[in-house]
Formats: sequence, C-alpha cells, structure tokens
Amino acid sequence: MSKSTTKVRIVFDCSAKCNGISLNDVIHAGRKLQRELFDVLIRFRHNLVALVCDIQIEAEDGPLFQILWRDGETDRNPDVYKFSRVVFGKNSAPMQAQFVAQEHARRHRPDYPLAAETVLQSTYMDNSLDSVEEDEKGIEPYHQHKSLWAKAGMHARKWVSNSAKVMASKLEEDRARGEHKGQ
Amino acid sequence: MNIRDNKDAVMTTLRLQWKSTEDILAVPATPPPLDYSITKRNALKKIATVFNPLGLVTPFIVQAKTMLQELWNRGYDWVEEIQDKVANRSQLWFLQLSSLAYVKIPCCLQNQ
Repeated sequence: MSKSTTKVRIVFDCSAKCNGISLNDVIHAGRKLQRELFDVLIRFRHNLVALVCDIQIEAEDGPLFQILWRDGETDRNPDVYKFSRVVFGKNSAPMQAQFVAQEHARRHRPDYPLAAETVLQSTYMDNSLDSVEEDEKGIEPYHQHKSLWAKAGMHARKWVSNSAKVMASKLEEDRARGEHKGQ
Repeated sequence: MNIRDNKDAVMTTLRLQWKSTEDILAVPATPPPLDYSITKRNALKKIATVFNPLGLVTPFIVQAKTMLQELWNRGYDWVEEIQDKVANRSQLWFLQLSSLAYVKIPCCLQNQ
C-alpha cells in the first residue's frame, strides 16, 4: 500500500451475511482482468529506463452502490452515502478497477498509444510499471499518462523513474505548470 | 516525491523495494524474535512472508522449503516444538533472514 497518498484505506466486509445472504453472494465478481504480476515485473525490468506511477481510480457509478447509515439512532431516517472510490472488500472491486482503467485506455489508444500500452499490458491494479530503451523515450509516456487520465478526471500520481534525465524534465514541466508541490 | 530531497529514494512498488536512483531491487525481510518457537506452523508462517515473485531470492528460500519438507517427513505436528537438528538449521536460516536486506539486485547485467 502506498503510504504517501493513502493514510487509511477502509475495507468493507461485503461477505457479512444478513438473513443468510451477503452482498458478495448476490453480485458477480467478474473475471480476472489484471495482468500477471510476474509479467508486469518483467516488463518493468526489461529496458534500461524504468517508469513507475500509480493511478487514482475513481468510479463514476457511485449512485449504483450506496450505503444507509444512521449512527445507531434508530428513531430517524438513515443518511445515504455513496462512494467516490472503488469499494474494497466487494468481490467485484478488482474487476471494476481494472475494467475502468483498461476500457479508458482502449478508447484513447489512438491519441495516447504509449500510455494505453502500459495500462493494458503493464499495470497491476493501480500500479503502472514499465520501461523504455532510453532517456529520451521516458518523458513522452509521462505526458501521455497525464493526459490520458485527465480525460477521465483521474490522475497518474507518484511518477518515478531511475533516469535522472526523465525525472529532471518531469520536474521542470511540473514547475512550469505550477504543479511541483504536492506530488 | 521530490527527488532532490531524496537522493536515495526507496519506494515500494508492488510490494518490492525499488531504489530508483540506483535502479536496485531489494527483498527485505524481518527475522523472528529470538525466542520464536520453531514449530512447523511458525516456520511456514515466517517463510511465507518473504515476497519473491521474480524468484530472485529462490536460492535462499529453497533451503527453508527443504527444511519444511523434512519436518513433514519426520511426522511433526503443526504445533509441536521441533527438537532435532532441523531446529538448529531453522534457527540459522531465520537469523540469515536479516541479511536478505543486503542483497541488491541491479536491473541489467549488461554494460551500460
């Protein structure tokens, strides 16, 4: 888990049973969409210039999954909460997160081929790890990832490379856009 | 992440430690406390904490796996304290776990 961006992550027990049935019993987990960890790591180690970032995945279907909560006050109507993130603990969570990311990449592949390739081939849950042959090829993926996720109102965060050149040009650009803080 | 302030930035990516500036992977592990009782259950528990998806530390892990196998062959129960010579080998292996932190795996073996 990434400590710098996530202080606390709530995991809901969606297998908790009520009258003998849990949420996970009645929803479909979907199929496993994430790449094999081994494959992702091999791609990450394949070329000299390594690139890493993580994706902040947000679900836009909040209204479809809400919880009612009244904080033990049984004499009032419950408050309605909806989620702005994928809910951990739901058996379909991994599929949802991967599907959102991969479908988004597929739709925008013509505009951002490098970023799309990484999302589709070299991403494990919210971690993208990849590598390119040389420094010069390391900065273009950065642009593409940023633009790709901006299109969905999401963010590629914590961009790190082993190449000082790539990191320097990233910093330069962030500074030019006034974004050097808080990343 | 600010690389200017973190020259030796170590980040954890997919539960592997990656020292990005030197492009080195590490597989750190914590040895158990000295009074850790060696049972089949405890041995397995500790061995399983070493995350080894790329097989980089397999030469070390495999020693522990053969020890476990031996414990099975000798018919130990899950919670039974191991009393024979395998116990010593296990102790030694557990001690060496801390050395795992010193193993650094560079990315490419070719000339750069």
